[in-house]
Amino acid sequence: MRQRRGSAAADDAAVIESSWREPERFAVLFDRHAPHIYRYLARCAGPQVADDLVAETFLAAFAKRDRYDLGHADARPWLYGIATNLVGQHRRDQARQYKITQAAAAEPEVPGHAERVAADVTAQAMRPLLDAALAALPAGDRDVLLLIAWEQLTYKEVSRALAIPVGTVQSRLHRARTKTRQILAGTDAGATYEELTTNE
Amino acid sequence: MNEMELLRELAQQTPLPAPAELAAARARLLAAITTDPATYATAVAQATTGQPADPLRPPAPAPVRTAARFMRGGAISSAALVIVALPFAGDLNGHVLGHRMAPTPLTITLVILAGLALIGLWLWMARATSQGRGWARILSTVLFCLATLEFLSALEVIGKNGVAQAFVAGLTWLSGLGAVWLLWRPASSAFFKSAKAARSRPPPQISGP
Repeated sequence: MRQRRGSAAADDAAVIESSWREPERFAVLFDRHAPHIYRYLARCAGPQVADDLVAETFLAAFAKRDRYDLGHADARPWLYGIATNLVGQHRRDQARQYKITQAAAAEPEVPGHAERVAADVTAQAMRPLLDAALAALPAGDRDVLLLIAWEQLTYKEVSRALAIPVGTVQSRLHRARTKTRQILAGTDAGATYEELTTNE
Repeated sequence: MNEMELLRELAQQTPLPAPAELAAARARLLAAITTDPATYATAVAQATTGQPADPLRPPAPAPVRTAARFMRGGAISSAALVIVALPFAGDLNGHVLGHRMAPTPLTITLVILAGLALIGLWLWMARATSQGRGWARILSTVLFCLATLEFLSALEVIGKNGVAQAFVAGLTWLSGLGAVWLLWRPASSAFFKSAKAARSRPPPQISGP
């Protein structure tokens, strides 16, 4: 699957280059990668906002296509980088909005997203358990973990997507995995995770 | 099953969207494409000449466009520098004879010619860098380094010639600094690289009637 996507993306650079003089060619890039970018966004931010974010991702990519480095044949890391930035922006907006709402309601304590998600964990399903673990990770570590685990990007591709050195990708991934393991093992639902990890 | 496999396993449960789910996003992109200036330029070129406009050159990114503006600004401040330096044109003789003299027609002509050459150089560099010529970026940087050395060595003289000349000379130097800094931004480097790659490709074949 990954190889097929990789080879299909091999001439992304050619498509982008041709879109400099024929902008309508950029739609090829959308048709090629939008489903996967949408799925990534839906997992990160929820399907309700994925529609909007996928459009924003490709609009931003189209606007700065003239800055694309044609030395990179595959445009997926570039697109995932833009999508990840937009998800981060969306989360910050949400957090700000949440704080404003809470302040208006005169709540003395404002629980963060992680706490809210963690509070919902009921030890029944793995998805909420993982959501809680992911929500507790620092944004940078989470982005690396998700791009590698979900989108199966290589270290080098993640490095390009997030504009960070490969060494940082490796250290962030290590930190994210360690913390995820600790959180999963330490929650009330940890027994479910323990069960899963021992039933290999 | 470790946490990575668990994440992958759960990710597989999210299906890819149906084309209909992406229709709105695609429509927004197509709307942006339709209003893009390059679309308009291509349409006009094709309507008038039957060929796409400027087929090999990628559009210059914002830092390169701004650098070109700085260079045009440098050309303007160089012109101003010539004007404010004219009363001191006699210093050319002064350098040789060891004392200040009144400007002569020869020294005035020399100052004007030097000024015109300088303005031409600024405009030439602005044009060449906008076209993605890598050599122009290197030459601009070298010229800026030489101008900096000249500026530093002439600081004392410029100071004696009044505030106006010092101000305009400083402004000209700052234009160069801004332009060179922008020309070496990552986006600019990607543009020069892309422009070089585009130039090295053979021109598209135009099919006959």
